[in-house]
Amino acid sequence: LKHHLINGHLTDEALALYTEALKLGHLAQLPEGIQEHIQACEDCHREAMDLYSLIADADYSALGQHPSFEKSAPKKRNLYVRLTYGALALAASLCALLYFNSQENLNPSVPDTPIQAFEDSIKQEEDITELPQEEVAQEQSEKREEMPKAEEQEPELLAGNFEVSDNLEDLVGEFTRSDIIKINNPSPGAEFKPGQFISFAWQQEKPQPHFLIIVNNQEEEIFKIFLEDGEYQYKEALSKGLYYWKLESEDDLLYVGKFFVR
Amino acid sequence: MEIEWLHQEPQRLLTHYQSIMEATISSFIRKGFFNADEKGDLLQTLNLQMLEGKLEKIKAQFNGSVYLRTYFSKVVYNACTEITRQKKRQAKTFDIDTLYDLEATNSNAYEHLAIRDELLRLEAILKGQGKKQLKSELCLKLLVRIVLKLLDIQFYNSPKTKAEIETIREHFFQPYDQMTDKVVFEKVVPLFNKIENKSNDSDSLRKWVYQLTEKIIALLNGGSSPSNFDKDSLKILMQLYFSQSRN
Repeated sequence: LKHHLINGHLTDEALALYTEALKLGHLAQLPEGIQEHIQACEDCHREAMDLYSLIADADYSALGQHPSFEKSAPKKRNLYVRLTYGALALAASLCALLYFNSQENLNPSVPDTPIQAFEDSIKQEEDITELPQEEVAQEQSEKREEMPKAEEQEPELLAGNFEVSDNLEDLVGEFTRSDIIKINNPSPGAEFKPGQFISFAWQQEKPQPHFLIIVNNQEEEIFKIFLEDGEYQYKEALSKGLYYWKLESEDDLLYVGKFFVR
Repeated sequence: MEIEWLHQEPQRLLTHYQSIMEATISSFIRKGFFNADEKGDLLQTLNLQMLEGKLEKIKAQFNGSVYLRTYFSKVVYNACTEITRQKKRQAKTFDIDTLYDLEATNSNAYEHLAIRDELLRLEAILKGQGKKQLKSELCLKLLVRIVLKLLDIQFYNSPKTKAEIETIREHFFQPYDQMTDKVVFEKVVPLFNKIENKSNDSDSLRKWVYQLTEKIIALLNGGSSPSNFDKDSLKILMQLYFSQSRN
């Protein structure tokens, strides 16, 4: 925090950063201490309020990538949590390395390019879904058209697609503790490739119809369907990014999950 | 592009940012620090200050962690504040009565914009609540007796809160102006207790909401602000805020 203070108050740039976080909804990405200082210091809080009233209505959409918020989207975590995540990531990497080494021995045809990997994933999907030949061909051509579009996106645009939604992030998995619904797929934070089919499945003691809704990280609705059964396979190609999915009854939000496409 | 202009064509940047300077001066006029007919002179003064050193200072101090135009807005805001100090200008007290007859034909454009400023300052406080924003907004809506809609409680709606949500729907989805604060918070505290896994009584929640309103009043009124809110006028401002943000 001391880098952001001068004479015990936030610097102009730190105040501007806080104000932009309010405007753009990136409060969770602020450097540690700024928000706490604002809440404790009425002078800085008022200056931020005044600056916010000046910029709140300004159109920033053409300004492109934010210099601080969109480079990475780390949420503030304490040291213990970061160490835990680090250890888990290390373990996962080792497992992945061991797995791929063993697979390489069994099957030498490892995809060399993202396109090849993508085509492999389509092949796997063909095996699983057993769709009519024409439908598969049509979907393949659609996906091949989709793929370059996603790859052509600017890196900064893609980074923005992975920003967490402050509203939904805290609700992810929130209601899985309920005995009424058991979520089978996808698991929270599951990863899919662009174009890969995404299976949704859940179980209820007393099955009831629900809305399945997919939203992007801007909380914009991508897809909504009313389902009698507790499963659905989403086959449209989603661009790379973070997505949330919700189960809703007529008037209840029952579950929020999330998954990545990358 | 704008940062390139700052380093290579500062005059072009200044021309590009004239609207920012004008908007900032207008906000000071709305607060009563300046008269509307001083706007041209102030703009000229600010332009001179920028060319005679402030742009160089921005060039040296701006570290690029924010959008340049936000930082520039802060620099202009600081410059305007400095001019009010030099000229020993005082803000005119914000006329709370304006809130009562916002729709009245005698309220002028400046008064409308001044209220807009207050609403944005209130918005900054509420958004700054972070993870408590949803809870704060729901409690404040109840405090000012806003009739709730499903959207207001959607993030609390789950099988485990079904009974509590039903209570809210039963009592707060229609006018409840006659209800006392005590009764209102008695009916909503079970929802927060269920979600937060606590067993607070309704008085604790009510006191928390009262403290929040006191903090909001202190923030809105203090410093160089011309505002003079009390509990009643804050309620009107909040009713206005929640009714507009609903649209």
